[in-house]
Amino acid sequence: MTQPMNPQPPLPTVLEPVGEPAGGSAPTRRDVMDYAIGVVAATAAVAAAYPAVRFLSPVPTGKGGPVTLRLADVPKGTVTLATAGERSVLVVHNDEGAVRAFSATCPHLGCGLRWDEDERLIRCGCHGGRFGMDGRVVSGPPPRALTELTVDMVGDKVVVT
Amino acid sequence: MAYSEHIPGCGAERSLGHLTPPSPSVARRRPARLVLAWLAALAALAVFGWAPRAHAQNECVRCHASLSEKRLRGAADAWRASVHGKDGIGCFGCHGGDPADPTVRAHLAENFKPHPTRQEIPVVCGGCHQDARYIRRFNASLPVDQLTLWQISGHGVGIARADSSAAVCTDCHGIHDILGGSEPNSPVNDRMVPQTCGKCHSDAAAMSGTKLPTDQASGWKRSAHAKALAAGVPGAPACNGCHGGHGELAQTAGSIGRVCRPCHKAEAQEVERSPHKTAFARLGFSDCVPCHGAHDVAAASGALLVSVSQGGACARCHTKDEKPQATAKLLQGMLDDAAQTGDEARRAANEAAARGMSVPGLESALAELRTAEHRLGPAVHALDPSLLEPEVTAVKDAAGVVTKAVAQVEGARKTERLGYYAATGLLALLFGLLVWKSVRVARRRPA
Amino acid sequence: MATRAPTAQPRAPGASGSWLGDRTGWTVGAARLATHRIGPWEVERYAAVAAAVLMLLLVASGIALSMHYRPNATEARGSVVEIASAIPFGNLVRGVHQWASDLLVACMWALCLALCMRRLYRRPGELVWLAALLGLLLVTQIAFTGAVLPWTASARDQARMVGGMARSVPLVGEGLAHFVLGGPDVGAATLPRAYGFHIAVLPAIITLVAVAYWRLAARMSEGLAERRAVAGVVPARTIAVYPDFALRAVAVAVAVVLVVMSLATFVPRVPGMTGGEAETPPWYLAFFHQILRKSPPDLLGIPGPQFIGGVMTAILLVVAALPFIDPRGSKVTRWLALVGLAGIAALTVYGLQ
Repeated sequence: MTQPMNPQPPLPTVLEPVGEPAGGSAPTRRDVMDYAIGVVAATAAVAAAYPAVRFLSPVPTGKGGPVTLRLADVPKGTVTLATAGERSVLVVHNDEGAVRAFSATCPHLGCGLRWDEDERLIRCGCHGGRFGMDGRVVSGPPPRALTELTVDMVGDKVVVT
Repeated sequence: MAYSEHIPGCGAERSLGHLTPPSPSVARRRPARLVLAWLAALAALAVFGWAPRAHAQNECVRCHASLSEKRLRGAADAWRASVHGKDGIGCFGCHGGDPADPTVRAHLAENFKPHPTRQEIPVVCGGCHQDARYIRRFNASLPVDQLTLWQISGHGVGIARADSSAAVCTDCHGIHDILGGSEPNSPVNDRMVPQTCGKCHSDAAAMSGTKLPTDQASGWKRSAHAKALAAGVPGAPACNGCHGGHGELAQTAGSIGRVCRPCHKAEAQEVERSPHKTAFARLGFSDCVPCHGAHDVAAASGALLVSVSQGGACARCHTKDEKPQATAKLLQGMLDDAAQTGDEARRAANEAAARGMSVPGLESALAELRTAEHRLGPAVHALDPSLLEPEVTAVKDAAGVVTKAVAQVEGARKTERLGYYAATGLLALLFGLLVWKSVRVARRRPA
Repeated sequence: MATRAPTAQPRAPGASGSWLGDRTGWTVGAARLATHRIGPWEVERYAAVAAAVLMLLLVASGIALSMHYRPNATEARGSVVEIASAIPFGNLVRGVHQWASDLLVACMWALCLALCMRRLYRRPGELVWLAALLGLLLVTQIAFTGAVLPWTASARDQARMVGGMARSVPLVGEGLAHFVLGGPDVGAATLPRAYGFHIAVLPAIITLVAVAYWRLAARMSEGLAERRAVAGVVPARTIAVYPDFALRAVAVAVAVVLVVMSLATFVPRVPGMTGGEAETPPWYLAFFHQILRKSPPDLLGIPGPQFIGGVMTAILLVVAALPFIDPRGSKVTRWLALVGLAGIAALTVYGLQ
């Protein structure tokens, strides 16, 4: 461990010359010191494992991670805003029963979008841009339709990626 | 009428009707001249060895392009690069003459008009441009109402009153070098419009005959509109955005509010609910200008509500009445409060980013904050604190989400630091023990 | 040195006496290590220990980083930002990797300087000297290929500068630049190339060189001891390799880990900004870049960069051939080394401003 690139074999773990007895009935000061060194080194090694495991474990919700929600939370004929990590998405469950998803960012100036139940349109709070359930611009300043996202149905769950 | 017979001249025969007798075809009407022209052409061919040209009918351009006098040659060169040149719309439509005649005799045609007068120009241009069927053949989406709109504009009215200093088509669009409005260097392209209008409207000498001010362009340059246009906001207005493409709106809009409304819908809706609605109508004020100004429209903020001395608008009228002043102060306080909360949240987010921390969900939280802040603007137009209150609360909530997310990450960072100190302590202890041991070993067995 | 000791037999002197040693024939030779005595403060040994620890740290953190890094031009920057921000302890792991790499380059400079100042390049240390120089070159290369990986504007600028340095090498310069950049200029091919070199080719070569160095250095140490014994020279003060030096080596290892961890925690590195400002080369190449930048366009009828590249290559060859040029280890060599190092340090500081 100490000289990893050494062609010499690793040093023995007990830091005493070979052949010398490792201790008698009563622990000497040297024994206590070796023991302390061993314990501290072992603790340090175990402690180092924590960040390593955390670093390598998959990130649950990161940028661009999928957004998952239950289909039951999106009744037919409505649109639901769902967020996960950095992302907000609009999940559309249209009257024909199809599920589609759009980015909840207005293509005009990047404001957040909301479903307006009264108008039955997706609406931008900033400049009144409105979009249909198919993501197309119905009125207002947005220059283009909403960005469509991929939807997967996993059991009764909607997974937007 | 079959247009294909004379594309270069288009429908100009009709529009120039008051200038020249209608002539369905130059060639058919004057066979003698045509014979002469051909003889001359043959003679020229014999003398100079010129090859016959494909565009034999536009002899004007061919000849003018070879002239040494810059004034005469320039027109032909400019035309070639223009939208008309590219579509093969020749000289005849505006200047008459005989484009088939390669000699100087072409200028002798009765309809030849070297310099259409300022009164004639709109009629000449309109001849083609208001003919929907004709225009569709070249640009299927070009409007055909330019002449009508110009006629009701200040410019058109001026010309009708025989004020020849009023602008006609060529003053803004150019003469021979006309480019389509979508061409970046066209004088009527959005980015060039303020300069094009300002050419006359910012020139005190040019405007001396009118009662018009000359500070519109400089005012606009300070405005929120100019900043938005520079920032590339789609639909941000230059002069034509409010005055109409052909200047028609300044004369004809019922009130300036009617001009602002199509873009500022949400604000206009709230204005309907404000106490100003009836008061302004009674006093004959326009909807927006008393507070926001005309050309130098400022980016609205709470400051607009305070006294004139501090850049506000309310006190311009409400000099004595206490209640409106108190309301203004209250509204301003609410707006400032919301702005401050939003700014603080953003600052916290920026600081976190500068320290290399990433806050999960920060982007969407900031977008929510931005949206909530955008809604304050329209809401304040009702001038009713109870209607503004929920929007302020929404901003504060959105800001709260941002701050909370940042605080969470900062907390995690603190925990990480504690872990670091623990690990450092452990390693330092190990180091100390090893050094101690090594010293003891050395002492026990001196070399 | 290794003696196979069948398990059934009683322990013979010099046999391993350990479970693993009995089965593999790998023995510690602790008794021999205990008798082999070395000088108390032989700097090159501690530099080598530190370099080995840094390499271990680099391998460990590098493997961890490779689990999250995506080596293509569109995703590289995003994944590095993600590592630095979204992934738990990502900043720490990145910081450890970057700081350890910088310290490793510094360590290799220290090792070469120590070998030079202690005149260890002389017989029987010729190959030790060559291995150390080769190690320095390889470590510099691996650090540079790593700096390209975030694929930010400044990372690409750095790649372009290194391409320019490669181009200045006489005769093979153009081909070398093509080889380094994967084309005539920095492009989409540069990133996968840098990645391949960084995680596979160079680590393999460096491991071989490191193993060779340790074997050669051990042999050199024993050879020198034998020579001293023959000459009857008794050093004033010595320590045993085991346990004295071993304990110090472990202490150095702990200290290195401590330093790297502290730097990674308190001096975070913004992704891709290894040299600070854009247009700044990596610090370990700043001196060369600075000379190239200040060179006149034309030197003695040869284009400036080529001339300087030629001179630098010649200097490198002379340094590599030092054991054969100066087999006795004259004082002049040491003075030249110090002056050269001071010049390089000055140019580095100047180049980074």
